[in-house]
Amino acid sequence: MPSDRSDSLVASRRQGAAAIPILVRIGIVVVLLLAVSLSVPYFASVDNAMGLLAQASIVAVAALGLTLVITTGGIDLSVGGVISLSGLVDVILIGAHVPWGVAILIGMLLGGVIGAVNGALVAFLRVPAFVATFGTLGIAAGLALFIANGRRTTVLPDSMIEFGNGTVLQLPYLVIVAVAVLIVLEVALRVTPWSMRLRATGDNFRVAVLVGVPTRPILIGAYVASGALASLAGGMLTAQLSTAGPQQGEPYTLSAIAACVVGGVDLMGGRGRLWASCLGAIFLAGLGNVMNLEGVQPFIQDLATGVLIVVAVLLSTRGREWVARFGESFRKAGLR
Amino acid sequence: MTTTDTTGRMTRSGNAVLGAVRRATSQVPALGLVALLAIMWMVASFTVPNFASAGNVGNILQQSSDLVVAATGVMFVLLAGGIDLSIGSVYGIGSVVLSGLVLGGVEVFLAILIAVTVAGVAGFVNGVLTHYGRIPSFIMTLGMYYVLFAVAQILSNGQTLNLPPGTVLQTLARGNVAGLPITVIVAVFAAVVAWLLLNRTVFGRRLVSVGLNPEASRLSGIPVGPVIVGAFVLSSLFAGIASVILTARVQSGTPALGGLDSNFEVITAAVVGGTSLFGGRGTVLGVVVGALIIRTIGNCITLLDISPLLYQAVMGSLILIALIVEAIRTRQEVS
Amino acid sequence: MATVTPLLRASGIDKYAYDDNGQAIRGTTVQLLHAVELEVEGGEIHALIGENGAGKSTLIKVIGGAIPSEAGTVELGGEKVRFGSSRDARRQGVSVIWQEFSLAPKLTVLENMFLGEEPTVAGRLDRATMRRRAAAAFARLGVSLPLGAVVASLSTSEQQIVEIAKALDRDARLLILDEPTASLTSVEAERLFAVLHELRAKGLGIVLVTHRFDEVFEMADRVTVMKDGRTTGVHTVAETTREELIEQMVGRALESYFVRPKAMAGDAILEVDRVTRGTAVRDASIVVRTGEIVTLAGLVGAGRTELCRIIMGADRAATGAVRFDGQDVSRWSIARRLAAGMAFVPEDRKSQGVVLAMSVRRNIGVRGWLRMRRGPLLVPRRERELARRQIDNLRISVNSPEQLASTLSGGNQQRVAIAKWMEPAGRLYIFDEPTRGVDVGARRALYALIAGLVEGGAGVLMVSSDLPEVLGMSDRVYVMRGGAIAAEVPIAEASEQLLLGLMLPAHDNAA
Repeated sequence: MPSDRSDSLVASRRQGAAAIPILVRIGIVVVLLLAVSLSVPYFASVDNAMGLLAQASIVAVAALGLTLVITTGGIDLSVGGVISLSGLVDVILIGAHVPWGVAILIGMLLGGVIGAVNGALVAFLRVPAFVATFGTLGIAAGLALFIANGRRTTVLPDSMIEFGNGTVLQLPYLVIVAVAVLIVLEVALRVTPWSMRLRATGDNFRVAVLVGVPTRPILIGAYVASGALASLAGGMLTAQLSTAGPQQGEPYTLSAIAACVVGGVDLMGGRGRLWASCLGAIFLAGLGNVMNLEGVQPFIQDLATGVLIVVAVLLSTRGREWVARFGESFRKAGLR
Repeated sequence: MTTTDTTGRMTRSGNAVLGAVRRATSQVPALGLVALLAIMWMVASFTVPNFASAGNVGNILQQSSDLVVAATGVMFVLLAGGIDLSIGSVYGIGSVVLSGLVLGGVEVFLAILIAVTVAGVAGFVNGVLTHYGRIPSFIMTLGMYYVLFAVAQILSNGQTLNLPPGTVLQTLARGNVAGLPITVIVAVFAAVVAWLLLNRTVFGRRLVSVGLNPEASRLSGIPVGPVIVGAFVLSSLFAGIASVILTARVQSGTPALGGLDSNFEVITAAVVGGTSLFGGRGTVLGVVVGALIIRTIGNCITLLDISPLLYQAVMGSLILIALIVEAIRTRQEVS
Repeated sequence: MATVTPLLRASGIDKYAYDDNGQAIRGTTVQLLHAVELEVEGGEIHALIGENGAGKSTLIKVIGGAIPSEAGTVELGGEKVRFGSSRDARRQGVSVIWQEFSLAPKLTVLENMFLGEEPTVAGRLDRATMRRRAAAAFARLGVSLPLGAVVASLSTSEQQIVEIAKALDRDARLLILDEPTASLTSVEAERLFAVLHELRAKGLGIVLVTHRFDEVFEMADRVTVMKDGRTTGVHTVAETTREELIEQMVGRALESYFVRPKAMAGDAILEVDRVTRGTAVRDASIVVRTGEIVTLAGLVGAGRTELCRIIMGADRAATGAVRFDGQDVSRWSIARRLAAGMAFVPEDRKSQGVVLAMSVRRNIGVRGWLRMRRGPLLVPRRERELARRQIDNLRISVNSPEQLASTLSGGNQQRVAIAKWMEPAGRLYIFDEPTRGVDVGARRALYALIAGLVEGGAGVLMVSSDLPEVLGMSDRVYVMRGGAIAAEVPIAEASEQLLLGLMLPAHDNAA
């Protein structure tokens, strides 16, 4: 029966919702890691692995917030600017004798406020998220440039530098922070109705409004979380580098988006896994790490990230269709 | 029944008023912007020292030339309902290619042609992957930003390529024709070409239609894909020309010629110039004036000795303000 | 269950149509509902039948709280109720299962059942209660579904079951289903009916909006017939016949404003040969000749619009061929087919027919831009002249050609959507519901226009759900049913009864 066949085709397309199943992605990563550890000397050492994870954790924290935003069907381009700005704010506060932990918290408050502006623009004015957050990116990055200028260098407290570079039982503190953020968010999402409301908002906005999901608070909350977590990432980066520069957060917008995309977050909204975004961050850090070990120039790494993200998105938007078309022609060929 | 009558009549008169407002604003934005610029110049000439000097106004015009060109280019992408965040690096790659070729002894005009073509190719890739690959334009072009930056780094080997003195490029940057700086003439020429493209070609009409309603356009026989690719190509071509102007001005090629600052400037100029971010609406005159407004603000920041580092933040704020104004205007039209 | 007060009593419901500016249009011809009555008992299945546009959907929208009515009252269990929204209605015991489901496809069954009204304990999502309530609802239905399955992975019928379970969970007393079997296979439909029987036995009132007589006679206890926004009959199913029901559904006065073209059919301009696309269009073959008007009659969802989209290239057919003027155009793009002389006026003029935010002049000019060039540049004067010619030709009432299309009335927008195809004249015009939402006066002008096209030598393929229009305008009628061409009827043999009988799925071909 022809109708039966087309029905099953539709069903299989529905079930193959993600272009590449998450398990396959993990498998690819594992195989790659094995291959790399065999071929690149030093890569498989514990020190290198921990350094890699520490690097990944900064991107991961930003990517976690971004995952929430993308799940609502939006985007946050201000991440990089917020990372730069809050790093500087942290340093200034520390210079004013604020304990560094408190400084980072205050920085997160600032990041949250920037996120609230983004969220309000998207939720109330329904403006495209990429433009609204592009505007706030300009404001944050610009303010960072402004306050960085002529600032006396502040020597960061040893404990903060230790936080950025030290380990406990071989495990970097930064990794512990990222894992803690992941756990807190996972629990918050799972225990409350937040997760389903978040996904419903990005999945089908009309239905979400119709059944009574408070879409505005959900949207604003996602952007606030993204801003605050970007800010935390800024603090972590500052601790790791022992300094804050006005442009040190810039590459993180793309890295965080790339981590989400590699982690399988659906750019059309409605679907995203926090831990998968973390894996995406680890994958990116691993890529960077290998290129560093192999002596690849840093801008080539930018190039790789740029290409990677485009290819990853391409696979998620058109990959399924291409696979289906390939299967179709294959089937036809088989029939004839 | 009577209540319905009243509400009916009220709606009608309300519509009449709204319609009048709409008609007025549909004509006025560009004119309103010209007035805004005039007021800015007037106020500045009284309050900002040295603003009104003859040299300064010429300066503003000359400094605006690259921005005018790039912003009219990006307008095409915004009209199609997308965004182009790769422009900052198109500047970089254009300048590196141009300088490298000139240093390598290639004829200047040929070098310019090649540099602009390279820029156009980047736009072509942006357009094809955005439309046919269904990658959101902000991700595609942000990825392209980093890719182009890296390519420019590789080509320049990470160094600044200083141009030899006395080339045609120097004349281009400093020369005058009939008392007008050549760069200003180039900018005016680019704006006129953009205006013709938008208002006097089939492509321009189709672009506006696609930006406003892609599905209806497709069903009317408009080839949507080529139109969108064309918009991205134009954006990059114009950015390439802008990069030539800027390279000539600084007499050197570097990957960091544009950077994020240029991304912000260019999009802010287009948005302040009244280009809608929802697609389909924008005028060349508005964008040109938007670019002049931005350069005027930059000029005042310098003259008033305000930190130039605030510039990017000002650009970001202007985007948000323009966005809010636009959203409110659109909402009124919808209701 | 002989209750004195019925479960639902809707009486004297009036609903006006609204024009584009949000003003109610009054007058009997365009009133959507006219003093409609509907009574449903608890423990009965009540069928609601009528032609396309008879007002069934509007009525259940009013009862389900989705839209307000201008007059009339709704009583539930003897108490007067007023619903501000469909959520409000659901809370008070009236749940409507629309054809377009209110489910988030990427969420699970369990999540969708409680989305927006999640049970919580001190802010914590109470999954145990969710599972218990969902299990209870499914148990009442006698159906089991994997609660953790993503809704997008379910079949249409399973998604429907989720909607019904959700309604039961909110203690629905009245369940309204809008053509629930329209996209179900017969096995799935049987399962749904078993569920509905179960619910009837438990005392729920069920309203079944349907087009299928077999469903009415198998399932329903009583049936209400609607025509032109009025209630024309209420019957106990056991005491009525299919013929009686059809009689009350049709029989509109044939208005005399149709304009029949004086033209002779010529050669075939369009041949559609055994075209199939999924289940929407199945093995459909039609022919349209120059000088004739051919209509596609059928119910909403019969595949008429889908067939038109395949013909003009907006969608691709999986198998079969489309020949235009003898050439196989199956692989041509839309642009190429249109350039060859096809013209398409889509049903949804606001989102597809015109570009609302663009001027009338440009909307009319869109097809002619390529020919308005001198060198590379377009000469606006030619566009202005074209617009002015067509504004006169089609009598589009505008203040100025520069006016935005959004400021025009529905009929005038439709004329703009047609005007763009006048120069150069097409050789095949496809009209999808050309007169929907157009007032009576403007209709006549549209008919004259269509007749003029045919007299000019073009062929016309028209989709229409308006039977008098089909009878008044066409030379031949194809009736579509379930994606297939059910019959070809020469106009001399056609009558409303015959066409409707062919359109409605009959008992013997329900499988």
